[in-house]
Formats: sequence, C-alpha cells, structure tokens
Amino acid sequence: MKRKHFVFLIFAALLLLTGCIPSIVVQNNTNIPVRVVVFARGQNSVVSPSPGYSSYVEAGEGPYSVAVIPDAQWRTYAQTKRDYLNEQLANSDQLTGEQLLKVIQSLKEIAAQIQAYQTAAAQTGGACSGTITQDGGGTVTITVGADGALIASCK
Amino acid sequence: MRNNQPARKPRPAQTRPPAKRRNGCLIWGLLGCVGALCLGVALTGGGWYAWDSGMITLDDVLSLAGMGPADIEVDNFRDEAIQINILQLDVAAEATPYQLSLQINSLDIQTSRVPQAGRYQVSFGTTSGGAELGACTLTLKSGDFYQFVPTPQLIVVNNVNDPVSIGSDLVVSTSALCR
Repeated sequence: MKRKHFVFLIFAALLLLTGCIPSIVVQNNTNIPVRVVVFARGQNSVVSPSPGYSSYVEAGEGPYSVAVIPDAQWRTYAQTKRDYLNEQLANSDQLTGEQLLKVIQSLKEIAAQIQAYQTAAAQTGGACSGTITQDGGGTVTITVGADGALIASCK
Repeated sequence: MRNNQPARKPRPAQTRPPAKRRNGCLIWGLLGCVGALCLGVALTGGGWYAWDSGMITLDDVLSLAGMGPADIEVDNFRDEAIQINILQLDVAAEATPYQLSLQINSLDIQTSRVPQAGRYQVSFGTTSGGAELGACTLTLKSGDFYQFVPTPQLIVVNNVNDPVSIGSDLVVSTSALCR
C-alpha cells in the first residue's frame, strides 16, 4: 500500500471518530437566562442557553461535571477581564517582560475563576456530574428549585 | 660452581578450571523467560483494564505517538455572538479536510478538540464563514492547547502550554503564532 493511501486511511478513521464525538446538551427549563459551566476532557466550556432552549458542548467519552454560575457575576468578571486585556494589549509591542507575564497570568486566571464558581455551585445544589459512554452524550437540565435556587440535573 | 644465578621461582601448580554449571544458566534463563511472560501478561491485563474503564483513551494512545489531538478554546468576550470556523490546511489530495463551525454567544466559552496535528486556519466572524474579525493560521502539534479571547478591539491568542515571550505575539493580527 502506498504511503499516501495509508495516511488517507488513518485520517479517514480519525474523521469518522471525530464525527462520532458525543456532545453534552444543556437544556434551560427556566424562564431566566442562565450561565452554565461544563467541565469535560480537562477543559472548561461556558454556555448560556436561552429560556426554553438548549446549548451544546463538544465532549468525549469519560466523566463530566456541570455547574450553574451566577450570570451577573460572570458578566462583570468577563467584562472587567476584557477591559484589562484591551488596555494592556493596546500597544502590545511595547509590553515589558513583567507586563507580559501579568497578561499571561491573567489569561490563566479565567480557568481558575471558573473553577471557583464550580466549587461554589457544588455547595448550593447547582452542580451535577455524569459520564459519557460509547452509547451517547449527556443531557443536563437546569430548573428552579422551591427556594428559587437554580438546580442542575445530569443524565 | 655457580652461586650468582637468581633463584627460579617455582612454577605454580596447574589446576583445571572448575567445570561450568550449565544447569544454573538454564535455570536463570527459564526464570527470565517466565518473568518476562508474567510482566507481559500484567501489562496487557492492566492496559486492557485501563482502556475498558476509560482511564486510557484513544487520544492518550495517539498522543504517545505524536499523532494525538490538540485543543482550541475560544473565550468570546465580545458583546455579540461570533462565528468561528476551523479548517484543516495542507490536506492530501484524496482526503477531506477537517472543518468545524461554531457559534459562540457573548461571554460564552467553547473548547474544540482538533483530531490531528497539522496546519489549521481559525477564522473569526459575525456571520457563518466570515473572517472579518480576524484569522489565524496555526501549526498545531499533538497536545497543544491554544486559547483565543476575542474582545471588541482585538483577538488575544495564547499558547497555554508554551506562552510567548513577545507582547505582539499575544495579538492575532501581529502574532508570529498565526503565520
């Protein structure tokens, strides 16, 4: 078999596997906007399904965890972060070494902030976890509890 | 009568070398084979268990061979939804290039796993297929993790596992990572 044919077969197999990658569906069954963090394959995603709608997160086989985070807090955090990045990188070619390190650290802090929200949500019932198997992806449903708190349910 | 000749040293008694213990080498050889066989069985069994339980995935195996996936995270810190398109470049004539299109809402974050190392174009636009916000031609290696942060003014690019050392490389429009 020619080498290029072998490479083609390998890549076709990879494409097939990619096309079969399951996803996590996050369904918002409330009448308010929600912001949901999905942690899967070692990476974070943040989605905001509108009331009555769903968002999708690409994920592979294995465990995943979900947390509902306060939308207003996330908005404030994200907007503050972008203002900082815009200010620092307006003249990016003039950044000193120390300034560059601070900007890079600031980018890493996004993941740390998300992790903090997940930890807080786990203590108030706004988190859940599940496992994606070969049989398919996961479904997460966001509802409102009797006390008005947002609840995440994973299947 | 000669008395000035040096005394000769007596010859050491010649003894035969000890007979080789061939049975000992055979035993050690057998033990080595059995040990290797047991190690192989243990590794195979352990590997199968790890694979079956999900501790080891196909991505992990491919990564060991340098053919594993890479991750691209987009933190949309703009005030409106954006469309990103990831297209594989330098594809063999008979192959179909990998392509992914995503819509990311304002202040949402999405992470995509690109299945194979290679060159990819990551385009940012406000409409499907558009690139008016910016584009980056990435050379991805197995295990790479790139973070993009589109803001109203610019698009930040960060190689999370190997951060840049020049400020201009943090912005897509001027970054050496995007050529």
